[in-house]
Amino acid sequence: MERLIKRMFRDYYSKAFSLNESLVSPIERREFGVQFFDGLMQRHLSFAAGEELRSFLTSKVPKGVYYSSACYENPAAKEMELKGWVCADLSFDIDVDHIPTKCKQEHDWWRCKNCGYEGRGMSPPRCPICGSERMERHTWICDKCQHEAKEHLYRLVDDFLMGDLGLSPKQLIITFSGHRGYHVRVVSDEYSRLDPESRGLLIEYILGLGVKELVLEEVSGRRRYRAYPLDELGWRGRVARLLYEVISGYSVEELLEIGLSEDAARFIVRNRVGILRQLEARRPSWSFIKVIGRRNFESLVEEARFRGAAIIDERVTRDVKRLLRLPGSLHGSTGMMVKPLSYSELEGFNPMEMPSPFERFGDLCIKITSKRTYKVTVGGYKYDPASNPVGRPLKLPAPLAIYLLLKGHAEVVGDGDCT
Amino acid sequence: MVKLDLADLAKYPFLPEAKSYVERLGIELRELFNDPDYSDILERAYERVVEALEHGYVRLGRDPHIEIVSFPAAIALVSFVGSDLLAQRYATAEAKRASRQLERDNNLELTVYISDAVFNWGLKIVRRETLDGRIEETPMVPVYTYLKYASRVSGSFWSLVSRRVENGYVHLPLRALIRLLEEAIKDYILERFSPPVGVELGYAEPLVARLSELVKKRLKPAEELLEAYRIGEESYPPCIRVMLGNLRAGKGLPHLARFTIVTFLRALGWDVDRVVELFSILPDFNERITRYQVEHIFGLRGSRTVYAPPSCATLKRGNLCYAGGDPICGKVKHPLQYVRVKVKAGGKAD
Repeated sequence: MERLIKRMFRDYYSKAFSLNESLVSPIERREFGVQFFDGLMQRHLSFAAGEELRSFLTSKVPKGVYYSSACYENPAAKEMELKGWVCADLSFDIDVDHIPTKCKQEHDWWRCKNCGYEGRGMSPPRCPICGSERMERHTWICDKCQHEAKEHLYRLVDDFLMGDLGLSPKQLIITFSGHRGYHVRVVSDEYSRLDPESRGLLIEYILGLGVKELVLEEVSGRRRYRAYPLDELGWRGRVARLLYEVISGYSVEELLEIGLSEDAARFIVRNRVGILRQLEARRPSWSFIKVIGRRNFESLVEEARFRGAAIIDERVTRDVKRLLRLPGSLHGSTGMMVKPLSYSELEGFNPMEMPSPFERFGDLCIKITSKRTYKVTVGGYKYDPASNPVGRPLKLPAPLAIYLLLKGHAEVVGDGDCT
Repeated sequence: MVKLDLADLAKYPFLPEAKSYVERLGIELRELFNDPDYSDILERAYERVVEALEHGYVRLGRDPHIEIVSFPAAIALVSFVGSDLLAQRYATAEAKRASRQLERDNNLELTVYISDAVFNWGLKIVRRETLDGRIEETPMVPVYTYLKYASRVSGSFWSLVSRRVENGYVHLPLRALIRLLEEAIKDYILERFSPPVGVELGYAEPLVARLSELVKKRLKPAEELLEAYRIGEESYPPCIRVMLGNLRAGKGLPHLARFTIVTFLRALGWDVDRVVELFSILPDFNERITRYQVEHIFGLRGSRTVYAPPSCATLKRGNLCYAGGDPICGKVKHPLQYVRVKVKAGGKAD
């Protein structure tokens, strides 16, 4: 199987891949790293030009290709101290792995490598039984997850980067990650010089950490709330508007689901019009808090935050020496391309319909080896486990077949076995 | 346009106008150090540094001329002493003095002028009508400038979440702007310490020697200082106290808690043996493994990285923050900072 996949990856890097150097500029200052199909990682690579990189990829055929958000004096130096860190572009990673989605209960599962305990849905950081951090994680791509990733990408880009931070689309390098997320790199000298602590303040902002303290102040041991008009700037107005959305749109059941008490939920739904009018006022009052109580109000605020925050992987944004997936490279666990996207392309972009570079290989003959496959669309081709039984040789379009092979749910069989 | 007089230059001697004032007088460092006519300036320069060392603050002298010229002279003296700790201390004290003066002046125009003329911040002023009909002028700093400096100041007051953010700018009350400027001024001064080449110390020689002595006596690395205080557990932040309590009770500790304890105690001057002994109480204790891990964190093995204790933010995320209503916790963002504050307060605060 590895030989087949490597052959196809090589074919891609030698024929179809072309590095848009402006996306990694200045290329000679970046560190590159690759991960091979045997799991080994090679870092501290440096290339003077895109063509050099391409011939490297064609000869070595890695599973994943990465470049540094940082620029170095000597990107190839083996030790960090000798690299001469200059700056690092502010970067963001949106990955459904970090965003709770309900559909994960259907298609994601994990198993503890230590004790064998397993579960469905979002994987906990360590095993709930034995506490081991050695976890095997199985993820899947689906429409809902891709939709959710894009929602958070839009929040990040529209609300925070272009909205509050006033950046222009030209300053953003956006890529689809090749799996179920997006990367955004900000091209700005000012932001690229910030240290990790400063980036930390921005992470808090994008995640909305501290919104509770914004509306519920504690002054010498006594708590009091602070109301903000809907058109206020920053999170002040954002939290007011999102509270408005929640209060105006949620049913009693939905309010219960986000943690409100029965009484509080009913009170809000019954007095909705009055509460909204108070929120709309130029000098707004949130006196309904006195009726529903602090706990219930905190649940509302948390829901508002959840609706407004963009869930980013904070490690990626904080780390100024991190490697990111190279635009135009292939993702080694899906075979999908790490696709650069302009802001205007975003709206029409559907990763599952994205044309695959493996299209030209026609059909491949494989055998599904696991019961845990789910519906999926890759490169526009649909797969349904119901019509593709386990164990029987099948002819599937190459993009789909590669996806199933890389996910470890299938194996290659001889062409003669497929009829 | 802001009109600056000599008194302003004395208060803000890092202004380009102050620099050109000194240049216009044609006083060179060489003469300053070797001409008895300038002894009052040299004397004041020395005083500035001593004040910074002893009080953490530089007072504003009466004679603006001496104040202006003694500032670059003091920077030269500190450079000659060659102590990073002194440089830090001096820059912090001068920056604090400038920010106090700015607060006293309470002059938006002047503050904005300094931000732009010295630091090139590119501030904007927004005029808004308040609810009672007054026109309020608020300075706005670019978000990246805010992030750069606010991240160094402790407390939730500086969270960007609590600010008005608009199209790349953060609205700031004048006092907050001044606080950020204080950090920038400190950087500005720190960047200027480099011993002048080819200047004979002359009259400055005994002053530099006296300062070096003072530094030896007064400034010890923070870690030594903490050890010298023989900090008791009552000065540890609540999170560490809880973790140690759990450890002593033989309860299992998450990885981050173990890491926090080791790095924290290392910073307080504990050695490997003492830390390993502390962990010996744990049910799953294995001396060889524990020693190996502790030595790793101490930077004695592997990559030789010496690890710092995690910040409050990290502990919070790891659910290891037990701040409760602790008044010091509200002001700090790092467990070690807690200890410093507590020790400074002489155990008064609680």
